Amino acid sequence: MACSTGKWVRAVDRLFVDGLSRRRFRRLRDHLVGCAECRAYYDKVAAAWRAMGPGATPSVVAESLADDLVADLAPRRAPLGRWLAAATAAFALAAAAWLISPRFHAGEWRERGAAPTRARAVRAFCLAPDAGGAQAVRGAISTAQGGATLHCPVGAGSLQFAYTLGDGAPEWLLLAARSPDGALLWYAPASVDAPAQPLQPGAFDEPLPSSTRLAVHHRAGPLTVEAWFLDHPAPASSLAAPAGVTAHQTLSLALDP
Amino acid sequence: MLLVENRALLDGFRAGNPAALKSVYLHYQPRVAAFLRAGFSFASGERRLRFRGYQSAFELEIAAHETMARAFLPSARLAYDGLRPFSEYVLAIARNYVLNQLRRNESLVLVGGSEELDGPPVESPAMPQPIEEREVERLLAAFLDGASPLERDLFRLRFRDERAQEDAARELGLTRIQLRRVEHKLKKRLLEHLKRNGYLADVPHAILGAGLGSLAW
Repeated sequence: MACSTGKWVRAVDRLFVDGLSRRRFRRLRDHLVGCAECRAYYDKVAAAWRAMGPGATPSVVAESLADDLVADLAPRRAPLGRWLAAATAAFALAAAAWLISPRFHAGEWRERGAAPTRARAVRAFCLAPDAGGAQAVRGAISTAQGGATLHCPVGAGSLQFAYTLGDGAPEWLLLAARSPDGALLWYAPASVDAPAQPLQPGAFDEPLPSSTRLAVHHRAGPLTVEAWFLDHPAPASSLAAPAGVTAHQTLSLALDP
Repeated sequence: MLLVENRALLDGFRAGNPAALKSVYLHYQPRVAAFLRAGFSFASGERRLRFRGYQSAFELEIAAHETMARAFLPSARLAYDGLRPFSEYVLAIARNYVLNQLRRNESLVLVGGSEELDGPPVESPAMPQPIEEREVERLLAAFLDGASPLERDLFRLRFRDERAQEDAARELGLTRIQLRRVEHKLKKRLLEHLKRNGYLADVPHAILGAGLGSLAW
């Protein structure tokens, strides 16, 4: 079953809300081994139940794995569970990328026959000091969220951008906004003299190298950030008429006084 | 200290008794996962290095399971002396598992400082909390701010304190069925809250379905 039906997303949702039977959980895991996009979704939902507390992890996760291992250790059984064997094989192929940075790589091991849709998105995080002075995430917004606006304090806040790019050829990113007084604000690359930001295929929510303090060059008011995904490393100065654009996306920010 | 204190369980574990194996797995797997998630520092020749820990829940589950599988091999069960804490034994296996993978792929991460790097395996939460984790914690806090007192109490008892349903229901003055209904609605609303606020928005749209519909298996 292809990911595009949403079936496996609903299975992860149900695992979170009600739990799954062991049979259905094993089917879900079998699918996750071969579907990077569904693994990304599973990882995000799992991060939520981890944040909730130790009692929020669905019991079927550890129970099912324990049962598989105990069964594998019984006489006349294969030494590894079927999903684990498949996972081991898949991970052997991608182990280098997996271990250099243990961050999820979107798009690996796409199902055969799956539609070649390539994921592209930019996400903005607003960081600002909390009551204790530590930098806290005040909010986040993605280019995949049409119509939403991220509020961020212009004085003490800062912006951190991250990108997602499915597997395929390398791409480059131009990320900029125009301030209310007409000035160009560059986020990636950091200046108009620099070449476009190279992007790593298969990256999921990969932060850009630097964040931007909103106390510098920013004023209170609305701000539209535009992202151009490019198929070649065009200079930032080409922004007026960028060529080789594979996707053009926008983010709406509101910088509060 | 489970195996050190319970000699009957230790005997069953060594003998490969299925019930004993499962008990040991469920007790130690969360500790192994926490260790592998936090990462650890180590020395390789003259270099001081750090394994940053697994960020992906799926990869973490596989690594923790692989560690437990190695600890449960007959030779490893018999090699455990039953005197030292089993957690030390299994965390050393976890560490070796990761280091073998790193050596195989020559993917080592340099760290500075003069800390003692080659000591016993201990959880080492020295790395900054990933931005995604801070985001989900913020969204969770906002969700709980809008929850009812009953829901907040249920959340604390069931998820933070790991209380069983019957136990939590008794403390909240509910039947178990009533508690399950409240818990179901609470989790469903939380998931919708996470989706509505963009936490899951960067997962490619192609795989996002209609939400919490029924499954057709």
